[in-house]
Amino acid sequence: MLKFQRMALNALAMALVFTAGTGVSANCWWTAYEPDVPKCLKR
Amino acid sequence: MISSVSNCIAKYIGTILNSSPDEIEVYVYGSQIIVGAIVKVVAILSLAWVLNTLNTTLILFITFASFRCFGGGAHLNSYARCLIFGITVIVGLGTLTQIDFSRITITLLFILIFIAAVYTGLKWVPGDTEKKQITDNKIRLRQKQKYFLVLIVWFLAVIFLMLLNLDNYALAIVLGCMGSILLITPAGYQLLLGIDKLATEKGGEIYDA
Repeated sequence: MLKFQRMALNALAMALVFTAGTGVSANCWWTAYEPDVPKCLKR
Repeated sequence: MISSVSNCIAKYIGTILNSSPDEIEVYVYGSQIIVGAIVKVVAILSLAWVLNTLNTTLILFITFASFRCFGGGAHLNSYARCLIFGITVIVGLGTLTQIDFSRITITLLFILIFIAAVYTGLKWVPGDTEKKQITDNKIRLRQKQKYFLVLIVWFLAVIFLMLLNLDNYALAIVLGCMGSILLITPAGYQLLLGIDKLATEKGGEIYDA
Protein backbone atom coordinates (compact mmCIF):
# COMPACT_ATOMS: atom_id res chain seq x y z
CA MET A 1 0.00 0.00 0.00
CA LEU A 2 2.81 2.39 0.96
CA LYS A 3 4.67 1.52 -2.24
CA PHE A 4 1.55 2.30 -4.27
CA GLN A 5 1.10 5.61 -2.43
CA ARG A 6 4.71 6.58 -3.17
CA MET A 7 4.28 5.68 -6.84
CA ALA A 8 1.07 7.72 -7.08
CA LEU A 9 2.72 10.71 -5.38
CA ASN A 10 5.74 10.43 -7.66
CA ALA A 11 3.42 10.52 -10.68
CA LEU A 12 1.59 13.51 -9.20
CA ALA A 13 4.88 15.30 -8.49
CA MET A 14 5.99 14.70 -12.08
CA ALA A 15 2.69 16.10 -13.37
CA LEU A 16 3.13 19.19 -11.17
CA VAL A 17 6.71 19.72 -12.37
CA PHE A 18 5.52 19.35 -15.98
CA THR A 19 2.69 21.86 -15.39
CA ALA A 20 5.12 24.28 -13.73
CA GLY A 21 7.36 23.90 -16.79
CA THR A 22 4.49 24.82 -19.11
CA GLY A 23 3.71 27.76 -16.82
CA VAL A 24 7.12 29.32 -17.45
CA SER A 25 7.19 28.47 -21.17
CA ALA A 26 6.27 30.96 -23.89
CA ASN A 27 2.79 29.43 -24.13
CA CYS A 28 0.13 30.93 -21.93
CA TRP A 29 -2.35 29.10 -19.72
CA TRP A 30 -5.77 30.30 -20.82
CA THR A 31 -6.66 31.75 -17.45
CA ALA A 32 -6.44 35.50 -16.89
CA TYR A 33 -4.18 35.12 -13.84
CA GLU A 34 -0.53 34.12 -13.59
CA PRO A 35 0.79 32.89 -10.24
CA ASP A 36 4.23 34.21 -9.21
CA VAL A 37 6.96 32.12 -10.84
CA PRO A 38 9.24 30.52 -8.21
CA LYS A 39 12.85 31.80 -8.14
CA CYS A 40 14.29 28.38 -8.91
CA LEU A 41 12.34 28.28 -12.20
CA LYS A 42 13.51 31.76 -13.24
CA ARG A 43 17.14 30.61 -13.28
CA MET B 1 -7.92 29.53 -0.97
CA ILE B 2 -6.12 28.36 -4.12
CA SER B 3 -2.76 29.17 -2.48
CA SER B 4 -3.68 27.30 0.72
CA VAL B 5 -4.85 24.21 -1.16
CA SER B 6 -1.73 24.29 -3.37
CA ASN B 7 0.55 24.69 -0.35
CA CYS B 8 -1.13 21.73 1.40
CA ILE B 9 -0.77 19.50 -1.69
CA ALA B 10 2.87 20.51 -2.23
CA LYS B 11 3.84 20.08 1.44
CA TYR B 12 2.17 16.66 1.61
CA ILE B 13 3.98 15.43 -1.54
CA GLY B 14 7.25 17.02 -0.37
CA THR B 15 7.10 15.36 3.05
CA ILE B 16 6.38 11.87 1.70
CA LEU B 17 8.97 12.13 -1.12
CA ASN B 18 11.61 13.99 0.97
CA SER B 19 11.76 16.78 -1.62
CA SER B 20 14.01 19.85 -1.35
CA PRO B 21 12.53 23.34 -0.65
CA ASP B 22 13.09 24.26 -4.32
CA GLU B 23 11.15 21.21 -5.48
CA ILE B 24 8.31 22.03 -3.06
CA GLU B 25 8.20 25.57 -4.50
CA VAL B 26 7.79 24.07 -7.98
CA TYR B 27 5.01 21.76 -6.71
CA VAL B 28 3.21 24.79 -5.22
CA TYR B 29 3.45 26.67 -8.54
CA GLY B 30 2.25 23.64 -10.54
CA SER B 31 -0.63 23.03 -8.11
CA GLN B 32 -1.69 26.69 -8.28
CA ILE B 33 -1.99 26.41 -12.06
CA ILE B 34 -3.84 23.07 -12.03
CA VAL B 35 -6.19 23.77 -9.09
CA GLY B 36 -6.95 27.26 -10.45
CA ALA B 37 -7.71 25.87 -13.90
CA ILE B 38 -9.94 23.07 -12.54
CA VAL B 39 -11.96 25.49 -10.38
CA LYS B 40 -12.42 27.82 -13.35
CA VAL B 41 -13.47 25.09 -15.80
CA VAL B 42 -15.94 23.60 -13.31
CA ALA B 43 -17.41 27.05 -12.53
CA ILE B 44 -17.79 28.02 -16.20
CA LEU B 45 -19.25 24.69 -17.33
CA SER B 46 -21.62 24.44 -14.33
CA LEU B 47 -23.00 27.91 -14.96
CA ALA B 48 -23.31 27.20 -18.70
CA TRP B 49 -25.16 23.97 -17.89
CA VAL B 50 -27.57 25.84 -15.59
CA LEU B 51 -28.17 28.42 -18.36
CA ASN B 52 -28.65 25.62 -20.91
CA THR B 53 -25.80 26.85 -23.10
CA LEU B 54 -23.28 24.10 -22.34
CA ASN B 55 -22.55 23.03 -25.95
CA THR B 56 -21.88 26.46 -27.38
CA THR B 57 -20.04 27.66 -24.26
CA LEU B 58 -17.76 24.61 -24.38
CA ILE B 59 -16.89 25.25 -28.05
CA LEU B 60 -16.38 28.96 -27.36
CA PHE B 61 -14.17 28.11 -24.37
CA ILE B 62 -11.97 25.70 -26.39
CA THR B 63 -11.55 28.35 -29.11
CA PHE B 64 -10.73 31.04 -26.55
CA ALA B 65 -8.18 28.76 -24.86
CA SER B 66 -6.49 27.78 -28.14
CA PHE B 67 -5.88 31.37 -29.21
CA ARG B 68 -4.87 32.41 -25.69
CA CYS B 69 -2.39 29.54 -25.36
CA PHE B 70 -0.22 30.72 -28.25
CA GLY B 71 -1.27 34.37 -28.50
CA GLY B 72 -0.87 35.23 -24.82
CA GLY B 73 -2.35 38.52 -23.67
CA ALA B 74 -3.22 40.58 -20.63
CA HIS B 75 -3.58 39.12 -17.14
CA LEU B 76 -5.22 40.22 -13.92
CA ASN B 77 -3.47 40.62 -10.56
CA SER B 78 -5.43 38.13 -8.49
CA TYR B 79 -7.08 34.79 -8.97
CA ALA B 80 -10.46 36.01 -7.68
CA ARG B 81 -10.58 38.74 -10.32
CA CYS B 82 -9.50 36.28 -13.00
CA LEU B 83 -12.22 33.84 -11.98
CA ILE B 84 -14.99 36.45 -12.00
CA PHE B 85 -13.76 38.04 -15.25
CA GLY B 86 -13.32 34.66 -16.98
CA ILE B 87 -16.77 33.41 -15.98
CA THR B 88 -18.42 36.68 -17.03
CA VAL B 89 -16.74 36.78 -20.45
CA ILE B 90 -17.00 33.10 -21.40
CA VAL B 91 -20.51 32.46 -20.05
CA GLY B 92 -21.70 35.87 -21.26
CA LEU B 93 -20.50 35.26 -24.81
CA GLY B 94 -21.82 31.66 -24.60
CA THR B 95 -25.26 33.01 -23.75
CA LEU B 96 -25.03 35.48 -26.64
CA THR B 97 -24.71 32.57 -29.08
CA GLN B 98 -28.28 31.55 -28.26
CA ILE B 99 -29.59 34.61 -30.08
CA ASP B 100 -30.59 33.77 -33.64
CA PHE B 101 -28.52 36.17 -35.71
CA SER B 102 -29.01 36.19 -39.47
CA ARG B 103 -26.50 34.41 -41.70
CA ILE B 104 -25.32 37.76 -43.09
CA THR B 105 -24.62 39.15 -39.62
CA ILE B 106 -22.57 36.08 -38.65
CA THR B 107 -20.66 36.19 -41.96
CA LEU B 108 -19.87 39.89 -41.56
CA LEU B 109 -18.74 39.34 -37.97
CA PHE B 110 -16.61 36.39 -39.13
CA ILE B 111 -14.85 38.48 -41.80
CA LEU B 112 -14.33 41.36 -39.38
CA ILE B 113 -12.89 39.12 -36.65
CA PHE B 114 -10.69 37.31 -39.17
CA ILE B 115 -9.15 40.60 -40.35
CA ALA B 116 -8.72 41.73 -36.72
CA ALA B 117 -7.13 38.38 -35.82
CA VAL B 118 -4.63 38.57 -38.71
CA TYR B 119 -3.71 42.16 -37.79
CA THR B 120 -3.38 41.22 -34.10
CA GLY B 121 -1.23 38.22 -35.02
CA LEU B 122 1.13 40.29 -37.13
CA LYS B 123 1.39 43.22 -34.74
CA TRP B 124 0.99 42.06 -31.13
CA VAL B 125 1.34 38.24 -30.83
CA PRO B 126 2.76 36.99 -28.49
CA GLY B 127 1.26 39.30 -25.89
CA ASP B 128 3.61 39.07 -22.92
CA THR B 129 3.22 40.28 -19.36
CA GLU B 130 5.39 41.69 -16.58
CA LYS B 131 5.78 38.24 -15.04
CA LYS B 132 6.52 36.52 -18.34
CA GLN B 133 8.34 38.55 -20.96
CA ILE B 134 9.25 36.94 -24.27
CA THR B 135 12.32 38.77 -25.56
CA ASP B 136 13.88 36.06 -27.76
CA ASN B 137 12.93 36.81 -31.39
CA LYS B 138 13.05 33.13 -32.36
CA ILE B 139 10.52 32.24 -29.66
CA ARG B 140 8.33 35.20 -30.63
CA LEU B 141 8.34 34.05 -34.25
CA ARG B 142 7.51 30.46 -33.23
CA GLN B 143 4.57 31.71 -31.14
CA LYS B 144 3.34 33.73 -34.12
CA GLN B 145 3.52 30.64 -36.34
CA LYS B 146 1.54 28.57 -33.81
CA TYR B 147 -1.02 31.37 -33.51
CA PHE B 148 -1.49 31.50 -37.29
CA LEU B 149 -1.84 27.71 -37.43
CA VAL B 150 -4.68 27.98 -34.90
CA LEU B 151 -6.16 30.80 -36.99
CA ILE B 152 -6.17 28.63 -40.15
CA VAL B 153 -7.89 25.76 -38.30
CA TRP B 154 -10.39 28.27 -36.84
CA PHE B 155 -11.08 29.74 -40.30
CA LEU B 156 -11.78 26.31 -41.81
CA ALA B 157 -13.91 25.29 -38.80
CA VAL B 158 -16.15 28.37 -39.15
CA ILE B 159 -16.71 27.69 -42.87
CA PHE B 160 -17.36 23.99 -42.18
CA LEU B 161 -19.92 24.78 -39.46
CA MET B 162 -21.68 27.35 -41.66
CA LEU B 163 -21.87 24.85 -44.52
CA LEU B 164 -23.54 22.43 -42.09
CA ASN B 165 -25.98 25.21 -41.09
CA LEU B 166 -24.74 25.09 -37.49
CA ASP B 167 -24.82 28.86 -37.16
CA ASN B 168 -24.91 28.94 -33.35
CA TYR B 169 -21.71 26.89 -33.17
CA ALA B 170 -20.09 29.01 -35.89
CA LEU B 171 -21.00 32.11 -33.89
CA ALA B 172 -19.56 30.48 -30.74
CA ILE B 173 -16.11 29.97 -32.27
CA VAL B 174 -16.17 33.44 -33.85
CA LEU B 175 -16.94 35.00 -30.44
CA GLY B 176 -14.33 32.78 -28.75
CA CYS B 177 -11.68 34.14 -31.12
CA MET B 178 -12.96 37.70 -30.60
CA GLY B 179 -12.71 37.44 -26.80
CA SER B 180 -9.21 36.04 -26.98
CA ILE B 181 -7.73 38.51 -29.48
CA LEU B 182 -9.24 41.43 -27.56
CA LEU B 183 -6.99 40.53 -24.62
CA ILE B 184 -3.88 40.56 -26.87
CA THR B 185 -4.50 44.10 -28.14
CA PRO B 186 -3.44 47.24 -26.21
CA ALA B 187 -7.18 47.88 -25.62
CA GLY B 188 -7.38 44.54 -23.78
CA TYR B 189 -4.37 45.43 -21.62
CA GLN B 190 -5.99 48.79 -20.81
CA LEU B 191 -9.29 47.07 -19.99
CA LEU B 192 -7.71 44.61 -17.54
CA LEU B 193 -5.55 47.35 -16.03
CA GLY B 194 -8.74 49.38 -15.50
CA ILE B 195 -10.47 46.40 -13.86
CA ASP B 196 -7.44 45.87 -11.61
CA LYS B 197 -7.37 49.55 -10.61
CA LEU B 198 -11.12 49.64 -9.97
CA ALA B 199 -11.03 46.41 -7.96
CA THR B 200 -8.10 47.67 -5.87
CA GLU B 201 -9.87 50.98 -5.19
CA LYS B 202 -13.14 49.30 -4.23
CA GLY B 203 -11.84 46.18 -2.58
CA GLY B 204 -8.58 47.33 -1.01
CA GLU B 205 -5.48 45.19 -1.21
CA ILE B 206 -5.02 42.29 -3.62
CA TYR B 207 -5.76 38.94 -2.04
CA ASP B 208 -6.03 35.41 -3.33
CA ALA B 209 -9.38 33.65 -3.80
